[in-house]
Amino acid sequence: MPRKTHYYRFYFEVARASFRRQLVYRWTNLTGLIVNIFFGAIFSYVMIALFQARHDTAGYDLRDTLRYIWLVQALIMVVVPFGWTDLMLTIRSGDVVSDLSKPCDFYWYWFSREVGSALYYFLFRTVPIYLGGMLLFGIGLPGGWVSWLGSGFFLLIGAALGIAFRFLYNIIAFWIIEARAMVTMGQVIATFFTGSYIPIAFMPFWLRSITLWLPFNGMMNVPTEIFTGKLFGGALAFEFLRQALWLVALTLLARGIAAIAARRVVVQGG
Amino acid sequence: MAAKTTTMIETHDLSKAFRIAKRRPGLFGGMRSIVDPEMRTVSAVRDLNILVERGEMIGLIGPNGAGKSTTIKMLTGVLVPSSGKVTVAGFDPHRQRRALASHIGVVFGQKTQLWWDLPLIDSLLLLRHLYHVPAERHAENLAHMRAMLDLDEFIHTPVRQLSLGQRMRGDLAAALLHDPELLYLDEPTIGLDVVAKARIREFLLEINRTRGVTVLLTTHDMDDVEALCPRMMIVDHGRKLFDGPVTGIRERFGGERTLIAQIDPADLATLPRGGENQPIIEGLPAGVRQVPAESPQVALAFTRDALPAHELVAWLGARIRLRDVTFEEPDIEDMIRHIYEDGLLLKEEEEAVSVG
Repeated sequence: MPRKTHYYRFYFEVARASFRRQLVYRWTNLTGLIVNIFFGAIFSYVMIALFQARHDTAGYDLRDTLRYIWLVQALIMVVVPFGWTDLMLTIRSGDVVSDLSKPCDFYWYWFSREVGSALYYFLFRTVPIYLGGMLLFGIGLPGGWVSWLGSGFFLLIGAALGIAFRFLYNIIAFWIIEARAMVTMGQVIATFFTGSYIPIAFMPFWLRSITLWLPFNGMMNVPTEIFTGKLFGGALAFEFLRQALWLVALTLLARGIAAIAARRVVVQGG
Repeated sequence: MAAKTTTMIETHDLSKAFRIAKRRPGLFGGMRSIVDPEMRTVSAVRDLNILVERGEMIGLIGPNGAGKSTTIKMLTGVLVPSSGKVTVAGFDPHRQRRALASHIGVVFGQKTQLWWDLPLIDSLLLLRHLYHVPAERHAENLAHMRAMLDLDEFIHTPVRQLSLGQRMRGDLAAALLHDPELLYLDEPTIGLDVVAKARIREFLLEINRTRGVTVLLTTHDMDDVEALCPRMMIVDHGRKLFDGPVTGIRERFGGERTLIAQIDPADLATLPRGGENQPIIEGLPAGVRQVPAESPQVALAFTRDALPAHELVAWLGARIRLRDVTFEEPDIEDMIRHIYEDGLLLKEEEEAVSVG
């Protein structure tokens, strides 16, 4: 290919277009923001009630717990956005056929789109939601720039894992006509195992042991625990290895299934 | 890679059959179908031979389910043929789909490749990177498209706010920015008003003439074909019924046209009434028959060889006062019925063999 030089430019531009597309939905974002803050407040009051009876749960004091809760609320839309059916809808309408025939990689095209919107959600959800938590519950900012940097790095992995996961539960629409059920199930599973309901550290030992080995752990729990100073040092290398392997595995799986789906379309029609 | 020949599209006995699982009736039947599905084969396209030269404009017409879309999908490479050979712009569409993609442009009348929430210009700029078009070339093409399609009045408007005609102009620009040699259009004028249709047709003639773009369009609308294409193919049930010049096509296969006349209310009262209280015109010329219409209209169906349209208007006008007169052209379905009924299909096939 003589034009190899601007091969990646397209994906960059797709991410940019996707970012700008999100900017259009100001009111949707504002209402979503309010919902996230509302849930952050509910979970916070539950935890405050819990910590009246005890002062330490699994090594977390009240302030650690509130920080965890607020950061998780702040990251949900970056990592496991609710109601993401964009890919599924193109499969249903048949528009996917024209996407498959574009001279670009189908998976990286969707990946770039989601990177663009993840960046948007980071700026317009994560930051204001955490600020909301600081204002309402005085949770402050933990750690220093080293833990922020580490957390940011692991958030990149987490976001990429989230994209691969939502791609997988959407692409099932090629085989199942009513794929909404799968979307709901995918979301419930992700919400639970990412620690959105209760911090993973609070889970019973047996459940936590399983959860820590799942890719969902890398989506939000790992970046959050690094941010709150619960995860540091040598443990990071191990988490990196574990989650990087998941990322490679899920990405390969997503691309593999996309290839099978493409072949099916090519033989069976849209 | 692709040798420059004068042929753009060539297919040889192109066929596509789909295998569809048939569900057995009842609960147990349904369960059995999961384990042991009963497969039914449906042929969408049968032994299709197409030869399109570079620079041609050709219309592919046929009723719903005739196999037009399936054919286009095989020509773009998104569907693999069950059997037969196909070459487009020197490529094997299915195996070289990505390479072929930068040589062709595709527009589906009912779909869009534009970003719905963003201004039109954003989608047009993004396409440069998809097809790796050099910046100057892209700028030149974009300027050209903006002028020819009058995009400037809405280029900064989000696509979701565009009218159907404007969106179609945007989609046409999007399909042509990477200088494709071949343009596929699927129902490009569907749902458009007369002015928008005329504008799109004019543009297509222009790019065909000035840029030498080969155009293959599928449509329901015979007017599209008559305005644009010197040559047309009619397909039905996956088979080619006709392949030849458009001139005189309606005269040959067109069946009956219909004259619809608005009768002056005063004269309407004087007409005798038939079944369902329909006014009756008596003593019609040979080859003309009256068909049911809504009062105060009268509809007369007539064949081309019966008498010229203006003579029929004059004939009718001499008997009753007319407020308005319109003509309805026979539609594709009528033409196909006519082709079957008169066995015209066989004659064309003999011709094709002797030419080929």
